[in-house]
Amino acid sequence: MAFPGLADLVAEIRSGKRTAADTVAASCRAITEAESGATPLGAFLAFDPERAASDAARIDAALAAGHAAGPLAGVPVAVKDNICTVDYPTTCGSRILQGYRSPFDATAVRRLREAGAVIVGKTNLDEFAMGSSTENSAFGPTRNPHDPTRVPGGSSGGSAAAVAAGLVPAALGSDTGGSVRQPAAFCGVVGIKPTYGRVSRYGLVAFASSLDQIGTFGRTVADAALLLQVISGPDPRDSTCADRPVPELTVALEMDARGLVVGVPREYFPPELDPRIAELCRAALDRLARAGAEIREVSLGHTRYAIATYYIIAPAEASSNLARFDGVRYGFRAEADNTVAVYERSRSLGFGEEVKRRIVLGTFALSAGYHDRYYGRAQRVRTLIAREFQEVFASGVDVLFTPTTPTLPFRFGERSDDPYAMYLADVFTVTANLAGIPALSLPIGAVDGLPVGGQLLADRWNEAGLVRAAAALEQALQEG
Amino acid sequence: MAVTREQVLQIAALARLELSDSELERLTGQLNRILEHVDELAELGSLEGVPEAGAADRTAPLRDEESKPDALVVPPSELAPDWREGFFVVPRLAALDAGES
Repeated sequence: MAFPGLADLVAEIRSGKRTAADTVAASCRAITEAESGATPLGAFLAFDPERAASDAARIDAALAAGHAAGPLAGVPVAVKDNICTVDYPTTCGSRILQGYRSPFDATAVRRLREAGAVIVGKTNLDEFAMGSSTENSAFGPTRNPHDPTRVPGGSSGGSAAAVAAGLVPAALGSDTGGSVRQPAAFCGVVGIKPTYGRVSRYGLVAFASSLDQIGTFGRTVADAALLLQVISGPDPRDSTCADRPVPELTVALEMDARGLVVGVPREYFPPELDPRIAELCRAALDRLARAGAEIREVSLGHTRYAIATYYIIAPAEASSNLARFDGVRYGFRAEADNTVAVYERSRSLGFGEEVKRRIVLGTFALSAGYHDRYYGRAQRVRTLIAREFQEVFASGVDVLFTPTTPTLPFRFGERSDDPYAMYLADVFTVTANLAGIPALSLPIGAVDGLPVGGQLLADRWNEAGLVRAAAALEQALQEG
Repeated sequence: MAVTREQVLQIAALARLELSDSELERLTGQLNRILEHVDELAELGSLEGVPEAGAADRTAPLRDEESKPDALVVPPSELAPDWREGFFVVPRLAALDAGES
């Protein structure tokens, strides 16, 4: 179904033109339809129309009683299944957490509910957010709504597909190396990864703690920005969440591109980039220039080391974070005749192949004798990558523009046998996580009916500049 | 560098993972391919003087040192499969039955 933009949707609910109940019911009907039949979309791991209807009725009752309505009053929102919710299971797409129910809501979820949003369900993902195609979910893959034979990207593929298919107007995801932006690009929606520390990670099941951030999906820049505005801000439950004021992103949406300096890093346009994507990027930059932006070529020389750096640091942190899943404290437990065997069997049967691969890689990178060669070195290269971004932004560049992905959405199974080929799907997105800067993907066109995303990156805490540039580009592309 | 089957087996044991022979074979090959690419970081030569990225470059805010009860939305008694007298009751491990400590 086609939802209006979030601002209009909320205005209609507040004015009584439509009810929260009708809006949420329409979303639930669309989800039920999409998830049934011979080829279900596979975007949702759990949804509950009755619970959603009861939450929506409460919003309508509050509105009828004249209570202040939040900025998302009555909006159906989907939440990636690695973000804790009290009213739905939180499985992380893993057998080891099958049926696990959190006793608390993540801070981001609590803020959504306080703003009046109705959580309609939990979305599919690569197990523990490890993957770029959503093929690694223990509960089956998600299909790309634009072509069901192709992947939706990952790891937040369920959230991206749910928004792209019109099942919900907005959704939460998480982005450790591109897991919001890459599926946003593959599904033709907008995805924002905020600055590290902008959004509380309390209740986000940890994969790589120094890289993870909760991000937002919407059909437009304005929708994804509104959701981000609601979930941002300090949280005493997450010491890495910064005590900084949240910028008014709605103001940034109204600014145009005049005077904006857009840097184009040449390393993000390598020979292996699909030429059709490169062409659409050039056209987008041309539109930005015509709208008054200054386009400036820049260099980020350490980009070529980003994938290697990321695939040491992220698995190292994952190997430590996932040590807690031992068959005793959470979810799935295999029986065995001694304690260590319970741990080993539960983990071996509970985790999927990609998770085991990353745990082994991370344990290796941290092990005695290899720590300095791998983990220590990767952390130093990470510093070099972050410094390079700082220097470019300090030179007067407001935002950077790059392709989000080097290829179009690929077919199921195309990269399953070659982990490194799959890792390369993140080649343009991991740098933002390594540097801790905010980044956004928005649709810039299509090739043979398949969406293509362009990525904007800004300096730390400059979500306002990021949203301004993205809204200006979106507008310029619409004007043609 | 290349890792051997034996090294992978040892690392898996450290990570509390059992691997079948076929898993071990496949994983060893895949890890070596990944490490081949990761070894590109050696091209950067000595990184002496470059600090490791980490918590030190980001100041974590401190909160007031006061204890506050963190009320759970769902009480633990409703979450646990078995809850008696304020304690979670968990299955007895066979090792304990055998008298292992």
